Amino acid sequence: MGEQVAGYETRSRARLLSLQRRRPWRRWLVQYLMVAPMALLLVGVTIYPLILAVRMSLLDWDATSIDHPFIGLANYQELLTQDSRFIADLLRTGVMGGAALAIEFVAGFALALLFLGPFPGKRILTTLLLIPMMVSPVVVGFTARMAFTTSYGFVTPVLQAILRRPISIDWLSDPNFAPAVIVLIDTWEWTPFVFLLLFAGLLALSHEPFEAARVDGATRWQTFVYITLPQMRYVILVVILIRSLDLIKLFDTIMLATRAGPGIATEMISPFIYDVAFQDFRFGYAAAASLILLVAIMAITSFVIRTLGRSVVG
Amino acid sequence: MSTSTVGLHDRASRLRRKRLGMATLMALRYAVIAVALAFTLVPLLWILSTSLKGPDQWQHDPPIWIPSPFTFDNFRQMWTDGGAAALLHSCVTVGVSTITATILGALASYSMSRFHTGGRNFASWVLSVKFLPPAAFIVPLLTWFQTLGLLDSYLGLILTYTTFNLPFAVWMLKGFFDEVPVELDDSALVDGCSRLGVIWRITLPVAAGGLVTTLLLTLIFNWGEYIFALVLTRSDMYTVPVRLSDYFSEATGLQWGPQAALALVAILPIIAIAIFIQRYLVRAMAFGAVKG
Repeated sequence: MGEQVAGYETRSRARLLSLQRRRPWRRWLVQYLMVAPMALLLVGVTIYPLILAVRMSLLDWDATSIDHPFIGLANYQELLTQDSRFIADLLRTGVMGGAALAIEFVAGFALALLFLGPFPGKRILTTLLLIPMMVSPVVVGFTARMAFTTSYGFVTPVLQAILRRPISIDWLSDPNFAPAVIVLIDTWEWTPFVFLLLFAGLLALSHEPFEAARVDGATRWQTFVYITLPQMRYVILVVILIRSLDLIKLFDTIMLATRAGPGIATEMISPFIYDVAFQDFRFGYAAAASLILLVAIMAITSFVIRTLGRSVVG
Repeated sequence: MSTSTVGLHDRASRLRRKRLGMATLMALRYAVIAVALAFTLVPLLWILSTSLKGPDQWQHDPPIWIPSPFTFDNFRQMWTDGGAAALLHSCVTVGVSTITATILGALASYSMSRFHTGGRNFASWVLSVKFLPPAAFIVPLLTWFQTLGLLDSYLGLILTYTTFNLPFAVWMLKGFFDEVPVELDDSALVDGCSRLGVIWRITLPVAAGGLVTTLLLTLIFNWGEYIFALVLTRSDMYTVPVRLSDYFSEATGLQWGPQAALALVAILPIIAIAIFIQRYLVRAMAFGAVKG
């Protein structure tokens, strides 16, 4: 019986090999035909436009004029040395993004730790807490605009009720508070994501080190710092990387909640590119900014992977 | 005798103390979760409430939480005021590009999974496209599509959505296909099945859960997409997110009721889908870095 099966397998294996040997070109054709549509689309809609962007960035391409004279690296030079708005937007992207990332990470980790172990209502509570990350960013921005508008939003009255004193903050038109509102709504939208990933990471940890720590009488804090965190390195790296890359391209919520205002108080790098292209019609200049952004993203990706990756390996 | 009683007593009190500690922890846990839950749900309930309010209550001070009377006028107005067209545009664009991305992604990832097409790191390389900011593409894509005559058309938007979701679909599906044993393919091939036949009859049915998850997540990403739709469509081809943002630049002043109605219609199906695929979410969102 066993021999028969083995015999059948050897025979079928041999037949398969002979089939493949007889028609090697066919396998090759099938293999590449299957990747071809994807490759075509990626080349046509991402790679070729990037080449176009490189060319545009070297031209004085004003969308309202007909000819686009070659100006070399002047666009890049203006962006990096003369455009204080661009530099400020880069900084703002870093500061607002960093703040949002920090809050999301701490809150998400705290929630993940609280959700360990069984307790009544866990399933339904998890489901409810995960809803925000599925809400379209445009809806998140619109809701924030409704909520924070001074005279008829609900945030001010609710805060007044909790703090028991009158508040007169014009959240969305005060340059000091508007960035905080953007950070807060990003926190609303993406803390669930951080929570979800870290929670999954915590569930996947092996039990032995925790048992050993308990036997040795380690405190909760010691266990967390010396056992949980090191074991979570890889998950933490992934969370930070994905969130940073998402925060750098933040656009939808900003445009709906504040339109990058008041003034440019909440303008991050994506709204800057949009504004330069579609308010000032400076396509060449916007293309140059796009390419600087792409290079920055690649640099940040490799930096995060290298610095955190070293601690992951080591 | 007496020592054992003391020991028992001691243990009992320790147990009591431990239980007290557990109770405190439980209380703390529920308190924190209650705050998080309120923070999460209040804005969503506000959308619901606003969508059911009459014009005199949209901007009432102090805010009105429970509309009285309930009215569905906002939904009617939203529907006739461009909402129906936006929903149609969104459904066609998102539907076609989601299905196309999943099919093309399945073909490519099968080839990558079984024949190692493009080398080991090809999938990661493809995935990196997902992390590039769309804002960096809007200017060159606009001029390129203008040359091709693809602006303000279904085709232009569908091509864009398909392409920018392919990396994610490929990454997801390759992971699922890698888990289907190669022996299944081989035995079907020996029995005279073609490659496409193998994919259709063996691989896809075995990886059906993964396929559905990929499809639905791609749908969610596409449904909320804003910046490409904003730039590549002008007057005729607006999608739901574009229509939603247009309310702010209308001459009639703020139309919060209809706007909230459209927002609600836009997010309810997505939330339903998300709850349906919740158990696959971890794996999907972490791009396989964390096995959920």
